[in-house]
Amino acid sequence: MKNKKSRGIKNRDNLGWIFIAPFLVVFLTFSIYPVLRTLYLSFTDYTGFNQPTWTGLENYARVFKDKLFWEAFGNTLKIWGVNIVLQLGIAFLLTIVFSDIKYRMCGLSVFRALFYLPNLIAATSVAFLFKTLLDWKFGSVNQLLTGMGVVDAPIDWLGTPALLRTVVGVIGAWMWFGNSFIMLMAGVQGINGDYFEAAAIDGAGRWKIFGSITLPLLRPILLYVAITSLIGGLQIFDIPYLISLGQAKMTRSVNTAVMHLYNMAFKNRQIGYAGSLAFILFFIIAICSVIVYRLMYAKEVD
Amino acid sequence: MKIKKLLAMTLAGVMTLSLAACGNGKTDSGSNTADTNKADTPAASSTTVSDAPADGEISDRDKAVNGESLVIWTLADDLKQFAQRYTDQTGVDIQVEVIAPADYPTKLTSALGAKSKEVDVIVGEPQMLLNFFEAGFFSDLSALDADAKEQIVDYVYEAGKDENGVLRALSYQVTPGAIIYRRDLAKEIFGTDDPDKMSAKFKDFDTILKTAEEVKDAGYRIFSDSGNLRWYANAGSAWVEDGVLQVSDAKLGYMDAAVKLYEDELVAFAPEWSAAWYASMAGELPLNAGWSDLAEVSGEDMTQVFSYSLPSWGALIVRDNAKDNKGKFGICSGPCSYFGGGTFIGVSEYSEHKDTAADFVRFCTLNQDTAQWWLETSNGDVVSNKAVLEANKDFENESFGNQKTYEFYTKEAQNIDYSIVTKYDDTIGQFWGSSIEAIQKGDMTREEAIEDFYMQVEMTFPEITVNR
Repeated sequence: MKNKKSRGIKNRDNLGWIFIAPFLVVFLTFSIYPVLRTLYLSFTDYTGFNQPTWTGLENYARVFKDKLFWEAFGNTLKIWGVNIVLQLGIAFLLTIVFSDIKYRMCGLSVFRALFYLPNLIAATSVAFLFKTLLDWKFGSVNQLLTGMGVVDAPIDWLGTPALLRTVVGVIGAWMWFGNSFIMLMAGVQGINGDYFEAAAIDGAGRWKIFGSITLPLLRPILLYVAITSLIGGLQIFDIPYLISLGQAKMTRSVNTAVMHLYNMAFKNRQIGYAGSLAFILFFIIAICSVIVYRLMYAKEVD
Repeated sequence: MKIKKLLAMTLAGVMTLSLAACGNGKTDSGSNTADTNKADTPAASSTTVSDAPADGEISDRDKAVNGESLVIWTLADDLKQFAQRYTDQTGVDIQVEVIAPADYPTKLTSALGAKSKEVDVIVGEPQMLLNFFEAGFFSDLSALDADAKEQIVDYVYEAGKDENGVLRALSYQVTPGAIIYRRDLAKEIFGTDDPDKMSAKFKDFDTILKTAEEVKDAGYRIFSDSGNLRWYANAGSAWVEDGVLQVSDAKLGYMDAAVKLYEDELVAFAPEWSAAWYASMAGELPLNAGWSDLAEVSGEDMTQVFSYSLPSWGALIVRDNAKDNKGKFGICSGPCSYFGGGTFIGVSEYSEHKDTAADFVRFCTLNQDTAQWWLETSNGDVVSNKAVLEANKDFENESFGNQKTYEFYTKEAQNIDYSIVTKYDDTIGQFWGSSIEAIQKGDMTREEAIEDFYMQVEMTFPEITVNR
């Protein structure tokens, strides 16, 4: 008898493969294969049209010398800096307000939906909306500011590199603070209410409670929010790309790392090089994530 | 229980189907691809070919006598008319699919990368051609070489050859650049509207600046925007020679002129394709209109634009938007000869009807009757056939003050030196343009901007040597 050890479909141990086969095939075809193919191409001079020839580490060496890439990476950090401070700042503030037992804020679910709303709008619409609002001559924002006498001359929001980067960061924060808020709020609601009550009875103030109870117990969620927004922030592409579409000078000032990659691959047809940019970016993000992880858990060990 | 089973079966079915759909969408390079593609394409084409004439063609196909049929993927509607004429004359049935220029390279690359036999005749604009040739999409047209060399304007013949000198594509049109100017304003400002004398006013960048000042003193603006000169960005010499970046004095002259046009406000600041730009062709426009709606900028100072710097197809845009100014325009030469755009036709390497497809290319480009017909049908497109250009050289064009426009464009087309065209021109031109903009806006000094330009070229194309 070859009962249990038998191969093939009749063995119940092997049946599991059939059940996961649909997912596995899709996953291997559309996730694993492209990654491996990109890795291979990153060592070649592939243009999308030619037969790829092996060039070794040439592309990777070029990434480190590519001033445009590092300029773009710097832009990414500047945009992300504005974005993360605002996004987490607002989300935190709202979490404090909504979780305070003394305020007894009502309508949490309504506000949660409202705050999340910007995230549901397509990036294209958001970019177009802000482009219209911030138009130099005829945008509502400038008309409002000049009308109220806050500024004398209209501000060229989209034509001044530093301002444009800030604007893109703010748009990102506006789109994502609701998302962070929901996660932080869920974290707070997961904390046992007895702690807050006990602290309140002991006479702890609002800030004391926040610093000694909410924050420490919120750390796992905080870590998750920090790492996901780091990954998202370093890969930012849609808003800067759309808002600067067709305007060379603006493109340069909000040229992010992923935009640079995109331009190299699909505009300059250097797919091999773009592949190596993708992998370098992957390693940078991985290292940053590890650093964030270590930093936040190191505190817990203390 | 039964319901549960049914549900499970349905779900499994949906999964399998979605997998199958994925399998169809992805065309692997293999022998079975032709079938999947054939299954895909009728649906695809019926959605993309949107306008009525296409449907007409499809019904015409049923009448095809000899059963041969061609599929064309093209960038503009032009070839639909060519195809109709070919069908009328030969009975070969043709299906034309017009694809937006931005999507064309992607569509062609994925189809022909998978060796699809679906399409027979393919096209490309000059800047796409070298990549397509390298990828092996365009079949060898050497059979047409001798006739093409004899009949077609030189630069078009050269542009259709790959790096090894094998002919792979041809165009039915030429697109030489020129300055299109207002004759009435020329008479008022300079006392003459003679094209030769006007050409002298645009002979180099220094002279253009002087002309611009004279035009401004008269209350008009020489161009609609400082970017109008960009067609001349390479100033008549190649950007890259033997792998070395060339920044000649003439190119620097172009840079200085573009900056000065901006700084001294010698232009009207209405960018090409803006509402104000179109409006300027028919008369007055407000200064500094930018991209705004004209209604929004009423109340600004008004002016008129003296001239436009555009390839030959641009002259038709000016003519078609001229309204009351129709007939008041003239055409003269700019600082150097160039060409911009143009549709090149070739045969797909994987076509199953190569002979018929090549015959269609011959019919569009190397047939004098077709060329003459197209020149008349298109109402002003400049054809590439030398004999037909010669035959029309005495035609006096009413829209341009009875100027002999074909004679003019023939001369300009023959002056074009295709050897100065490189595959880098578009991107390097953009870098040059953004450096110029940085100087105009005061973000960089001239030296910084030139250094920045060098850096961008170096970083984007490591194979180009930059000598500072």
